[in-house]
Amino acid sequence: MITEKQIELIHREIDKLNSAEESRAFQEMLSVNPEVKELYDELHTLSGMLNSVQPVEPSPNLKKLVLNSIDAGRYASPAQSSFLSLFKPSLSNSHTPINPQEGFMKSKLVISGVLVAVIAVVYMSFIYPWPATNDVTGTIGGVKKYNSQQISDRDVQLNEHALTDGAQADPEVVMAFWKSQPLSMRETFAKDVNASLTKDANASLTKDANASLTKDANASLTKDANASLAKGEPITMQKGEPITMQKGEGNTIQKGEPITMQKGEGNTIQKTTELAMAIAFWNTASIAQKQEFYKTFNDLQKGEGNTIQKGEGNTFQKGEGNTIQKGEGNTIQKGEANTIQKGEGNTIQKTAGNEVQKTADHDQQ
Amino acid sequence: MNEEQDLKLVDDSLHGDQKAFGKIVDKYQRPIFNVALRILNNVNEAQDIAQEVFIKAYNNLPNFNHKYKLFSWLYRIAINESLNLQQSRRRGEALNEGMISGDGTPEDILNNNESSEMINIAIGRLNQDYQTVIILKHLQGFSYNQIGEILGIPEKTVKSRLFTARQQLKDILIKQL
Repeated sequence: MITEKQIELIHREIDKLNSAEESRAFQEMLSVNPEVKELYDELHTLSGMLNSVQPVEPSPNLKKLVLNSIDAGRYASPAQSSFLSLFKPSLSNSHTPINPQEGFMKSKLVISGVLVAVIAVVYMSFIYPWPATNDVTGTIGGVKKYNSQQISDRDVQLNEHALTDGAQADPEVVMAFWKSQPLSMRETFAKDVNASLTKDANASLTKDANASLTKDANASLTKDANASLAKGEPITMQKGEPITMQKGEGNTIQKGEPITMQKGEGNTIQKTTELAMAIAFWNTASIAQKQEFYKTFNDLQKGEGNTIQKGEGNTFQKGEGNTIQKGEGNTIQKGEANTIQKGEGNTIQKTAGNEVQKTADHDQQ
Repeated sequence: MNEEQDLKLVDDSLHGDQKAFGKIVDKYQRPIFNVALRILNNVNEAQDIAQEVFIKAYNNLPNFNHKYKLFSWLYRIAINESLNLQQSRRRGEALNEGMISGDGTPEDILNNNESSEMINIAIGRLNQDYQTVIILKHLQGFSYNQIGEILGIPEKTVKSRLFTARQQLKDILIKQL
């Protein structure tokens, strides 16, 4: 009968886990126990057979198949995928269930928005306002497009007054409120404000530029056409590049490409300061948030209802119900119902209804 | 297995570096394919499983817990996928399909293939728990500890299963001979 201990020793010997001493003892045991030796020999042979099985090489195409099957853009950096991500669900959060209908609707909305924008730009660029078409025939040259560099966040610097509208708070308070917010929150807010204003600025600049260019182009084309072409004459291409006007009244512009105003000249772009951002943030805060902050702010500045002990030379402004104990040389301005205890040499200015307890030698003005 | 290097490759892959994931495939395609091959005893199925393992791994990289080892994660996927496929088909259906050649002379390969075939058939008759420990121990060369990590079981259970598996395999082979 082979014991559990002997079986474990056999397997440990096969797996080369026995120490030299254990191995020597095991060999001695084999020599005196034929049953254990038989099992060991069988298992040792089996182990040899298993270990002799050679690994097989996979197909050389395996890697290629794998790489062709995976979504290469799945973990692309945000900069690489920001635009495409509008059209497809986020793959980096694969563990988050994606509502296919939501993704479809998002894509649909974005595509619709782009189409509307393109149509609007084309319309504003080439069609509106309609050129005078009386007796106008012929092919007219193209509108010189305004080409310049793409505008970026850096090019758009926010107008200070755009942010300060409605702001009535003390800049010091507003700035303190702004700086009391977590850095990450401030960065996110600034980014959002910049993105929003950049978008607005782009839209405004594009609209203005298109209106201006269309107007100029229409005036120029109409004038040239009227001057040089008689009705029904062969069409002569002048200045023509991408834009072609066709013979006849009520001309249709084909091949027109939308004029996009990019970084317009003469636009006024002003810098955004941190104060402006702080004011913008202040304006987004609720009254409750502002009141709460005021309380904190006043607490820090020895505001209302505070008790000051052993104060020297403190100045109270707009304080109500303040209690000064052992104060020396304190000045209270506009205070009401302040109580001064054991004060020495305190000066009370413009007070009404102040109650002085146990005082001596106070100088009341 | 360089674990730090593996983790770096995982991080790089998660940052959009597809070449990094290609290196993971390079490094592990052979053992992953062989694990699947020994469980399924079918080259084409093993090839499919290996491909599936890497695709699943790639898609689930964000869920990979860095406190574990990449190789054990890949092996676990491979074993689960292979065992699932094995369960879903009728056992023995593909046992007669041949193996592709390994290293060595044609004669060695032939002899080896004959014994490999016999061993694969015997392994295929084991319970799935026993199959996996035999394959991981003898055909992949993992320690008890590593096998426990891959299968998510205690080392003691690994030893117990291995001892039983060897005994059963020996009996099956003796009957086959």
